[in-house]
Amino acid sequence: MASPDRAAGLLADQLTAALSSEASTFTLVAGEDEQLDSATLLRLATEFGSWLHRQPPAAPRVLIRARNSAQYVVALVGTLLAAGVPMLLDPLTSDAEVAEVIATCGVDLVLDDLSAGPVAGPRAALADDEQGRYRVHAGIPAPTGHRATIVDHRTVVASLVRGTELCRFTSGSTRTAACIEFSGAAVLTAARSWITASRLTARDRVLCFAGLYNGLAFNTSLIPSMLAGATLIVPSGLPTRGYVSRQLATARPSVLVAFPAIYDSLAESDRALTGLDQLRLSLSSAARLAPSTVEILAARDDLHISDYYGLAETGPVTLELNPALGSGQGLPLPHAEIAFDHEAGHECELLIRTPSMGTRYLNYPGGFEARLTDDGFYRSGDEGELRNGRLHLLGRLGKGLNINGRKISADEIRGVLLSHSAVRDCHVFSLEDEAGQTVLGALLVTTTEVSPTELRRYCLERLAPYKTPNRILFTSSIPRSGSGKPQLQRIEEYLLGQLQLAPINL
Amino acid sequence: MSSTLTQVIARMVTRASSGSISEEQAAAPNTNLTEQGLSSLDYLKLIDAIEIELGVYIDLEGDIGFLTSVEGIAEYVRLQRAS
Repeated sequence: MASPDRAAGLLADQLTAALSSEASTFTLVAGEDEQLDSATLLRLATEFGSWLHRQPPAAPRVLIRARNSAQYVVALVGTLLAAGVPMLLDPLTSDAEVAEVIATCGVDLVLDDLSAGPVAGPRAALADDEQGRYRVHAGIPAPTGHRATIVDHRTVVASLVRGTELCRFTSGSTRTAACIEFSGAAVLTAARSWITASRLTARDRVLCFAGLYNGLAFNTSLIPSMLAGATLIVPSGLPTRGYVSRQLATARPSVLVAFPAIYDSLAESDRALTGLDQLRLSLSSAARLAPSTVEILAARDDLHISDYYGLAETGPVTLELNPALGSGQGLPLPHAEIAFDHEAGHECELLIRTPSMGTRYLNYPGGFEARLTDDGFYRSGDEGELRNGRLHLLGRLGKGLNINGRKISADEIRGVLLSHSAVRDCHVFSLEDEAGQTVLGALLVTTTEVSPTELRRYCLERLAPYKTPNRILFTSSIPRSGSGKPQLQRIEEYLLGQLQLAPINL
Repeated sequence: MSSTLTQVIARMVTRASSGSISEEQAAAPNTNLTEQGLSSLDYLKLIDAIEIELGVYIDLEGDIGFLTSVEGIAEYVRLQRAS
C-alpha cells in the first residue's frame, strides 16, 4: 500500500480549530436542501474520517473526482482528519485519464459521482488497469453518497514528499494532468494571504460557481471561507445565464466567483441583474476577460470584475480590490513576489515566488523543479509587466492551448487521435468561432473514411469532453517541413479557406 | 406539431453551436449532440434559449441527460407543457 501510518497534519488541525470554535459562523450552502453549519460539517467529516479509517490503508491517498456539493467538502475535510491526502481532480476527467492518475499517483481510494455529469449520465464502474498496474475492488457507497473504489496497487508507487497534505492537479497542459503536492502550510498561507488581501470576514457571503477542485474556488473561496467563518454558497447546477441570475437574486452575495465565460454570458443578457446590492468583489481568473464584458457589466449593473492572477503551482499571486477597465490583474498578495526573466531572453516572462507554492509534481519527477530558478521562482510561461506596482498580463509563451480557462495539451489530444486506426496524421489547434468563443479543432489525414462523430466518440471515451475537438476537418496531407514540423502558415491558410475563421493558436 | 417543435429545437442547437452543427444533423434520429461537437459552453447557450424562447424551466440540479438529443429535449418540453 502507498502510505505509511501518520498523524493528521497542520491543515486538519487548523481547519478543525476554525470550525470547532464557538465563534465560527461558517456555513456551507450547496442547494435548497443542502446547508451545513460548521459544527455539522465537522461532525460529518469526523464520521467520514472514521469510515475511511476502516478502509485500507491507514492514511490513504483519496482521489476526489466529484462535482460541487456539501458532501464534497465533508469528504475533503474528513480525509484530512483521517490523516489521508485528498487529491482533487476535475470531475470531467475521463476514466482513461483517471486510470493514469491512479497508477502514477498511487491513489488508494477513488471517490466519484455516480453520474459522469448532468449531461453525460451514469458513470461506469472503474475497472482493473489494462496494464496490470493495479486492481480495483467493486465500488462501495461512501457515507457522503459518493461511490468509493478501493485500489490495490501491483507495482511500487511513488512516495509523497514528507509534509504533503493535499494534492491538486494542473488542468492538463502536460499529457496527464500533473499532480501538485502541497504542504499544509502552503495551503494555509494561500488562504490567509487571500483573506487579508480580499478583506474577507465572517459577514461575507461567497457565491462560487467554480469547481472546488479548481484553484479559483479552492484558494479564494473554500479554505478562506472556512477559516474566516464566511458563508460559502456552491450551486451544483450548470451555470447557464438563467441559473446564475437566479442564484444571484437568491443568494445576494458579497463576493462572486466565476469564470470569464459566465461573465460573458451575463453581459449578453438584455436584462439588468438583481441581487447585487451587497456585492463588493467579483472575481475572475484563468482566461482573459473580453473588454466588452467588463464594460457592459460595469455600466449596466455596476459590477466591476477583479481579474486576478494565479497559477495552480503557486496559488493566487495578485488581486485588485478596486478594478477599473485597464487596471490589469492588480497588486501582489502579501508575500507574493513577481520577477522577470532577463537572462533567458524572455524580457517579460513572469517569475513567481510565493509561500503557498506546491512542492513538486508527484507524477512527473523533476518536472516542477525544472521550472524553478536557482532562487526558487517558478517560471510561469506567462508574459506580463508591472505598471505602478500592478501586474498586467500580456500573453502566454509557448504552445499551450487555453479553452475557456482550461490549459490543455495539443500533444495529448493529438496522441489520442493518432491512436485511432483510421488517422494517419493530425494537427490540433484552437480557434475563435463565429460567436467569439474559443473552440478546439483538429485537422486530420485519414486512411479510411471515418466520420467526425465517430472520432469525437472515440475521444470522449479517452479524454475529458473539453479536450474533444469541436471542429474536425479532413485534408489529404498536413504541410510539414523537411524536419517533419508542421508548417503553421500553410495550415493557417488552409483553415482560413475551409472555415473562414482564423486559428488563434496553431 | 411535434415536427415543428423538433425543428425549433434543432434550430436552437445550430445557433448554440455557432453553425457547426446543422439543423439536419441535430434533428437526425439517435443523434448525440456531444458527439456532434456541442461543447459545454454551447449547452449553456442551448439551455438559456430553451428557457427564454420556449418558456420551459429546466431544473439544472436534477437529471438533465435528455439534453443530449433533440428528441429528448422535445419530449421534455412536451411533458413540461402538459404538466
